[in-house]
Amino acid sequence: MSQSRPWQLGAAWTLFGAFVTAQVLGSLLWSVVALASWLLLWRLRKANFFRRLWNPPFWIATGIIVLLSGFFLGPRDLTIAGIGVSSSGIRAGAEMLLRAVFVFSIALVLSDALNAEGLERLQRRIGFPHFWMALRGAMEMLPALRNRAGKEFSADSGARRLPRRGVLLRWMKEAVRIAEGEFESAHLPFRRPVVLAVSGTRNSGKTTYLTQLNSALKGVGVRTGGITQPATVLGGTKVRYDVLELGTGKRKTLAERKSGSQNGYDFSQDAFRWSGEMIASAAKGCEVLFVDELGLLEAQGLGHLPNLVLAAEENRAPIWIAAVRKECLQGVGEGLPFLVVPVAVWNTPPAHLAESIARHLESLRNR
Amino acid sequence: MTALPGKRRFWAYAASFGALWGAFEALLGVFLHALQVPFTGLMLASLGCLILAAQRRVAPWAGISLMTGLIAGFCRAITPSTALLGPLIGIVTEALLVELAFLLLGRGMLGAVFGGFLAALWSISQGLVVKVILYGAPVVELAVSMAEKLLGWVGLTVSSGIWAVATLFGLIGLVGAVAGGLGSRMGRSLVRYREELMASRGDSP
Repeated sequence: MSQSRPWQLGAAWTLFGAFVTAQVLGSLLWSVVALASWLLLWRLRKANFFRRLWNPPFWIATGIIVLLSGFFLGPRDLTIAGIGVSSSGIRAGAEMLLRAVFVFSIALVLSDALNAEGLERLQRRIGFPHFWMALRGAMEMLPALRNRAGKEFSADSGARRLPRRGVLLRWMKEAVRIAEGEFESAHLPFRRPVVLAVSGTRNSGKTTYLTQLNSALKGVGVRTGGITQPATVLGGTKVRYDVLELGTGKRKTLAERKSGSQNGYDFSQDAFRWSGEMIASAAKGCEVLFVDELGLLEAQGLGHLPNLVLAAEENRAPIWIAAVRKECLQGVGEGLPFLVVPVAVWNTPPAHLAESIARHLESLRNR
Repeated sequence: MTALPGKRRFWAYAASFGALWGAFEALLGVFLHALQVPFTGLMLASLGCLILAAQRRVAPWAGISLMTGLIAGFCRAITPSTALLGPLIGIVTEALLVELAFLLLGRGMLGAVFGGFLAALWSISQGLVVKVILYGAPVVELAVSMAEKLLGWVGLTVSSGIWAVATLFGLIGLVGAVAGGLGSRMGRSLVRYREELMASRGDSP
């Protein structure tokens, strides 16, 4: 909706009053004048306003009502084309027509205002913060709920069916679960996280920084989880990468150096699957999720990237911290469906960053 | 994990059930309206009552049905569709009627059935009310005059016509009442589910 100019707003209110007064006084002529001015004013504000007024079902229904008024309301004191009609009925019909166009145009204007921007303006004007917070939460849930509901309505055969009682109960249980669980920590479901990308060149100390940051966050009471990928170095060469789950300390071998293999390493698909499960689990239960070593594979949409996209569907962790190879930052950022913020952390001691993150999470909880 | 404080829990339930109702309205409403399925409004109103009645069992706070309806209405209104204002008014009025029924008759089965009855009646009356707002009082005069003529042509009296309309309204109200009652029953399952959920987390409800 375009921004109102003060004179337009004043003119709109004046014409609104003029039309209502003319209708109350029963002046057909002044009703026509006020309505025409009202419509022209809105046409000045919205180029497509007259086109939007063209709604065939509305005009057909209104035409029929005007015609019927001539036949059924009042005595038939006029003859038009040999048919007896009522002059008072036609007049009543004309008044109904004017009023209908007026109300219909108001509905169009209000419908235009019913968008996210309009709701935000309304929120600023009337206050009532809890309601708007709840509405924002509901709207964040809506796309995922609609997608899931769409799948529920499709039977295996592909034929569409209406929701059954069992489906409805399952959905309402989901609503109870969301209400009891998600709002407690102000982690709305399906919230898109902000990804802080700790980026640097090979062997610049990204994994070490992540490990220190994880310890510092735990120290200030933040729930963390996710994976790091410590390397085994032999003779100055990294010969093996493990996946280390931060919560339990469990690890699996992810890649071993092998000449002639993809990127010089032989990758274990089993370890990728396992790390996907660990990431998804951490995304559901932690406040900060760590992912290490996003590089060439992820920039091509492979490696951990599909796991991250999958985990994002039911994510409740507001912050993800990822170590990203500097030259792969753009590719990884394009592959993830949310904001990736590169952070220059090398001069920030992990303890300081941990305190900032803890303060941010606290403010999220108190919202 | 501890239980939510009262106010946050109120809004959490309003948001989650409002989103659920809004999602059904957006998906089913647009789909059924596009197919011109008869009594779409009644079906959606009954579904809404069912959700509100079930919610009231598990979240028994005054005002929650109305707030859930407001949230569902706004969720529906921002869905891309030709009709925006009508569904919003419809959903909010249904929620208001259900809320009034619960306030008058309590959050049990009786309130749910009466709320469903009122909301279903509103779903078919909304079209008539909108016509009166759109065209003004003369449209009522016109409808009465036409009905009298029509009844005269088919040889029926005005009182029999009134009975026919009352029977139709009664049947429609009955559909809503059944949905409300069913919702209230399903609400008991939700209460049990919540208790299990709390027990598994070691919380008190």
